[in-house]
Amino acid sequence: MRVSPKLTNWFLLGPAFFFLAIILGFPLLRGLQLSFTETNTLNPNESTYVGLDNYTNLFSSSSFLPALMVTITYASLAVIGALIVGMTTALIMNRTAASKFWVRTFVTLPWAAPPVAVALIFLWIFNPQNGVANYALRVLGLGGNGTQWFSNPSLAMPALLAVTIWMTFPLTSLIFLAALQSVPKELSESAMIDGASSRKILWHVTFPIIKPTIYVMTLLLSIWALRRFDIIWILTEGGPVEKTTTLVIKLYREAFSYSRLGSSAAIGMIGFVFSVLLTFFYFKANKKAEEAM
Amino acid sequence: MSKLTITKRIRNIPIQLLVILISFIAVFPIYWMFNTALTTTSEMFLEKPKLWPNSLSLGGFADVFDELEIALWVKNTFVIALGSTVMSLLLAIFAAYGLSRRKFYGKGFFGFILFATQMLPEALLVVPLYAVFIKLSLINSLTGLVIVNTAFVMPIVIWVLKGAIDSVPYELEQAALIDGCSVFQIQRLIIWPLIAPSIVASAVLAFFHGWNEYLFATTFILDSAKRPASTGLATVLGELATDLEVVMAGAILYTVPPIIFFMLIQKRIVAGLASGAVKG
Repeated sequence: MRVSPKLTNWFLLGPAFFFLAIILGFPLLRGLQLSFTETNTLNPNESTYVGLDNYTNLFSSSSFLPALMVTITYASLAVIGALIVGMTTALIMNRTAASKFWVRTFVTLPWAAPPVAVALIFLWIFNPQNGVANYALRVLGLGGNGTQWFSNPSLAMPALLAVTIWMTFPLTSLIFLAALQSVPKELSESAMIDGASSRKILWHVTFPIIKPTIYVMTLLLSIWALRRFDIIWILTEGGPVEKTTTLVIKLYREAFSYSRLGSSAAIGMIGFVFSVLLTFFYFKANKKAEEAM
Repeated sequence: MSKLTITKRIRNIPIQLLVILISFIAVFPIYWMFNTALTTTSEMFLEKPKLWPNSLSLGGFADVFDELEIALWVKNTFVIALGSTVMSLLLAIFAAYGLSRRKFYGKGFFGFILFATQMLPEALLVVPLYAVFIKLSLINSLTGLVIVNTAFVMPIVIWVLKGAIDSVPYELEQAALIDGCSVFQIQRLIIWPLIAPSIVASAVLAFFHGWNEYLFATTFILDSAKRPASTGLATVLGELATDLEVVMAGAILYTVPPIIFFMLIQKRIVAGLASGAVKG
């Protein structure tokens, strides 16, 4: 018996499609609908339609635009940090064969550690009284006398970024290393014979070849940063004075601390549209860059 | 030793220092987790932290199984991770084949949907999904978490596997088709063996997504006995009733399995991911 091609397609793709439609698609539409209502989280079945009020209220509130700024700051610095540290590590691993095995092994550790465990250990490391970070600063004579980290408005974000980059640079560097190893050796060797410095080779030979990988990692790291919840919630809960309240944290707070489900859904929709637009522009820029090459 | 190699060695010194620095930064927090778990409460609050666990006591490990339900939590974590791995692979492997090889209306749209799922803020879906899951009595159940985790990780798995299938020459399949193989036989006999490294890589991705997940576990699981380790440990920390070395011992029991696992297989995973990611 031969099955028609159309039916075969349904067999292949149907289950995955319906699964996503029910578990992600339906709740997303429900979220969209909720964003036009005023609804109490504890009683989501009773809601009153309010039109665009949630959205206009957000943009006129004093806390939404700061949260957007925090999100952009956090995401861009987390991405740039992970790219720089990851690339540095990858270049080193690519260069010195002797240290490669150990660096590879060590660098795998942060990657494998679960985020909640990471957050717990860093809370303790950055503990103001007995944390080892402050102890190290005292030994080096750089202060550290009871320095608050996660509850200090000006240090919370840098500390959070440090933890984030610690978590994300390993995968970044291992992916970059794989890309670097795919660069043909003859290219850099012939450039070296032509008298190019190693920095020049890096800029004009290596980076252009691995550009697709750099692009993909940039996109992935951005998406992860925009969605990150667990470590921010455990380390700071968005505080102090909302200095680390990203859109995701704000959305969670609106729904579960203030029971304002409608406004929470509106934040979620804005965040979602924002990420989709970002990806859209990314693909456009990527295409342009490819055409230019 | 020639003069050249000596200058080369001297020029390498900054790089070697950087290697040591990066390795130290990567390893230290993990080491510190062990060190803390192996101290006693009285040692923990000294002016000068103990850099080595000097007494050979068991520290937090002595009490962790009594004070926390950690064995249960790690078991739950394992069930969730394994369940969502199996489920997402089952759904994704056929979808990836369809997306790579078959022509159908709306293919581009489906690809876009897969990508868009990765941008959904999970917190947006918590409440609507909670309402659905209550009707299906999937709240407070590990099955519910398996389903949620599958939904979020399956698109990535499809993406990685599609990239791998794209790189399998189509001529192989045409030959098999002429010999009378069905689409499913082709997958089983030709595609799956050839993309095995990517299957392993994406299985690992799915497994660790389930192992690490926190948000849905914290909102959907109400019973302490059904918690995975992620929410179990976070809750304990919030309650402040448990000694820190016990919490750290729990965190180690939750962290060590993935670390050992990753060390054994990281080289394969990176190769599998890199080929998929760059082509995708």
